[in-house]
Amino acid sequence: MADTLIPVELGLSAFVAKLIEETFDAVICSNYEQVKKQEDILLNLEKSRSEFARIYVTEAEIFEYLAQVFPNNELKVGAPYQGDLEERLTAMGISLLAEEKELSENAITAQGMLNIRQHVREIIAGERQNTLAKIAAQGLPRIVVDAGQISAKVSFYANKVESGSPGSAAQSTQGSSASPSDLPATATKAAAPGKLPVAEPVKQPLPREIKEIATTRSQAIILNRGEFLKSQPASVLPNINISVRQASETSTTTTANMVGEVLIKFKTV
Amino acid sequence: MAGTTLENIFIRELDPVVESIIPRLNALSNLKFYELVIRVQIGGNHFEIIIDTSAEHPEEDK
Repeated sequence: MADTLIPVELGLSAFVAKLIEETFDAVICSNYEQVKKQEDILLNLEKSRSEFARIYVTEAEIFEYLAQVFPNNELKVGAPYQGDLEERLTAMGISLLAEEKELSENAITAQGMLNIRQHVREIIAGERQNTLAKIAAQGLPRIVVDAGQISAKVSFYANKVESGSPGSAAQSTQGSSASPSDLPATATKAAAPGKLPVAEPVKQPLPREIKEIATTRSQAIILNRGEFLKSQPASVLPNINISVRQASETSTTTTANMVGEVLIKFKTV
Repeated sequence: MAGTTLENIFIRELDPVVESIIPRLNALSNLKFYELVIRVQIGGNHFEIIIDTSAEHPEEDK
């Protein structure tokens, strides 16, 4: 099944924007759902017993309740209202009356059965409302996402695009949740038609700090983006776009130019 | 190897996101996206490009 899922290739900016927006949506939705459920609990506590019973107690639950009290199906229309059956109904707070047509010649009528069922429905509802009230009194728990990071393993591809084509640079956002208007194109310098783009020499050294990580050949390159944008227009390899595809763990071959990971860190402040 | 050219390309590609998407989301709630990290492996070399995405950088975790 995994083989049938071919990862979609997206522009890097579109991919990252989508990842960020989906993370945001997930956290907001989680919070919304929690608030909504808390409101639902409080609203249910305000409902009358009979209204709560009508909404939340099913016929099957009434049947199950009565089956526990009367396991031998003693309670039915026509059953004599006396002895043990009467005692058990009384213990449930049910008293049948002939003048209310619940009894006929001391036997339970269809109306009597209906009233018993309604009474049981309210018993079950009362138990549930009491439980909800206890939960509310103790304080409803909330799960708050205060910090986190989203990591996506990806394959990077460097693609050459025609100069001036609509899919160039940051405009290659089709299929993402970000619209082109959300992603303004950065200034790029087009290569001459028919010529391969060439990396232009960097005129000024970029402000950066390279921190060696001990015992490995890894480097952490911490860029000061603001200074970079001021001092260095984005003119390096203007016709080369970086696109990404989610890395496949099952594939045995890859044509990726580079493999890596996009990591997004967020926090509640 | 992965010197300034690669870094510049990543910065160029991600600039619209950092300029537009993240500030818009950060303005909506108290959930802040403050760091974007791109880890790249080229051959045996591993690089980590860290882009600070928010002016309101939270305090470091203790």
